[in-house]
Amino acid sequence: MQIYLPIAEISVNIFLILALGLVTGFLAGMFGIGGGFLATPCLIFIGIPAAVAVATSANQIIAASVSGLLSHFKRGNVDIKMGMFLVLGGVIGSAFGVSIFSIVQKTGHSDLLISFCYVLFLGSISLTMLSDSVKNILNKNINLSWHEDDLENNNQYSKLQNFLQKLPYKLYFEKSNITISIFVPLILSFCIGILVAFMGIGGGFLMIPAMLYILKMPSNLVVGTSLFQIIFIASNTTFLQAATTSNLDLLLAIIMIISSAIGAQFGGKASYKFDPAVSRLFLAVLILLICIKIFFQLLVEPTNLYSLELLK
Amino acid sequence: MKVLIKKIILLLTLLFLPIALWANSPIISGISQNEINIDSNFNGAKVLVFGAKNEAGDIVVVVRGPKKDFRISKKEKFFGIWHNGKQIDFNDTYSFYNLFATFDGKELNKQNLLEFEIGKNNLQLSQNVIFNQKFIDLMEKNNLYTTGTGSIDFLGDTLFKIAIDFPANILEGTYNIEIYLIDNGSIISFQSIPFYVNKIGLSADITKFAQQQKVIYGLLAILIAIVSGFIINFIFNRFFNKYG
Repeated sequence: MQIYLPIAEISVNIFLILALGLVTGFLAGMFGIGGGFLATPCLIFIGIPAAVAVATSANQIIAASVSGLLSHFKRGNVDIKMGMFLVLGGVIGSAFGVSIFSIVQKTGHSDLLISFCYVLFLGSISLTMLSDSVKNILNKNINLSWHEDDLENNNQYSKLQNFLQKLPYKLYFEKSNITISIFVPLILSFCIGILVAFMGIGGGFLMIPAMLYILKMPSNLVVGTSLFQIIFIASNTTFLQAATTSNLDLLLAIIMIISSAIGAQFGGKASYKFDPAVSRLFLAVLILLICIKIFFQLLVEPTNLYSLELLK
Repeated sequence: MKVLIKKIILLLTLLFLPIALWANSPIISGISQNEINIDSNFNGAKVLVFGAKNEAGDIVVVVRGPKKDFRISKKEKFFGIWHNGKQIDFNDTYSFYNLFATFDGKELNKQNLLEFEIGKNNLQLSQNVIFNQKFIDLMEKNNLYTTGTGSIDFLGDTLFKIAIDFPANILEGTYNIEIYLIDNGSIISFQSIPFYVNKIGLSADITKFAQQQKVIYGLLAILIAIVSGFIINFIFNRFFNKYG
């Protein structure tokens, strides 16, 4: 069944969009990531103009995250206090990132910057998570005796942790049961906010590992808290997109909103069926695959050297 | 009395004008519909052009869409990495261009029709020949350009018929269907029929809303997303969640 999208100015198969929303929502509920890194390229692949795809998937991420968050909230797995600090840093960071991005865009190399950011961050994060979760699973299942976490023994990592502990304005986060300087979540989310603006996504896949390894939050709180902050970041992006570019397609958004909110419910349930280490392994593999795909895109000669774009 | 005679003369003139035109005009033509309405079910449209020619020569029909700005980017290799290299902007360029002619493309190129931008090589694009070719190729791939010579069906020697395919990705605006009678490279007769592509119903409402009330539109989009998240979560808890 075809449906005409008024802002994208194209006719698409409604079932294709519904399926995409379901998958994106599932990832949101399961892993606490918005799923924008998957939805945006898929929408572009279907034939939706890139600018419309970016603006519309931001809107869709809100619904998936709200739906996913509520199922985590019910179990009390959200650290709202920490989430608020992450929101504050993230909003300032993404505003800062947008202005840097527009400077880079003038040089015409923004796509290269985006790809480099993806490969660098996705690659290092996925590999860290992969080795960590594999060790975790082996420890649990085979009961191997090398229990000490390699990360703890890593010299630079412990130096970083020592440095973070020395920062002023310490605050106790009751829910996560950690005491940390408020600058750590603020600076962290500020930096991620900049990258989020570059890459045009929610940034959940950056936030999740940062919460685990830098903030050292308990893993059961990470998914819910990430979703909490994504709602604010994605709302900010949606509003800015609607107010400045008029690229948000409400009809496309509504189809994706409904399907992704449903997907997020299934994802939320699935996340409790798996061991956190196993689900971290899935996420690591998923991120690594995307990283490899982007890496090859940079190296392999594209089939279509020329691309066409309609300037509004 | 004088007024009455004047009126009768006027009436007679009006009555016989079409016949007079028919006799004098080398071509006469019309279209099956003069607008396309884009609603939520829109998936392309077909428009028929029909007409008659009364003199020798070739029929050329050109359909032009509203002018827009386009950009072509070329991927280039730099230290082993592919990135967007050269970019050329095509400003004020037809967003739709269909060409039908009774002679083949080669002959068309010979014609001195640069001024009217008839034919692939006469389109005024950029200075870069390669990028121009790529622009046309990509527009053809999107079914927005046909610069070969589409078929014109003839019924006898004088009556002709053309079916124009408008794909689902056409842009809103005023289109022009131009019918030329060309003999030995010179234009003997020319007729231009305007044609409108409009969004109607829900499509029109959403577009208007998005462009005219940006702030409210943005806030509404956020609200819809949040409320949908809550509603679907509620439905799931109420009807599907048996595990708590």
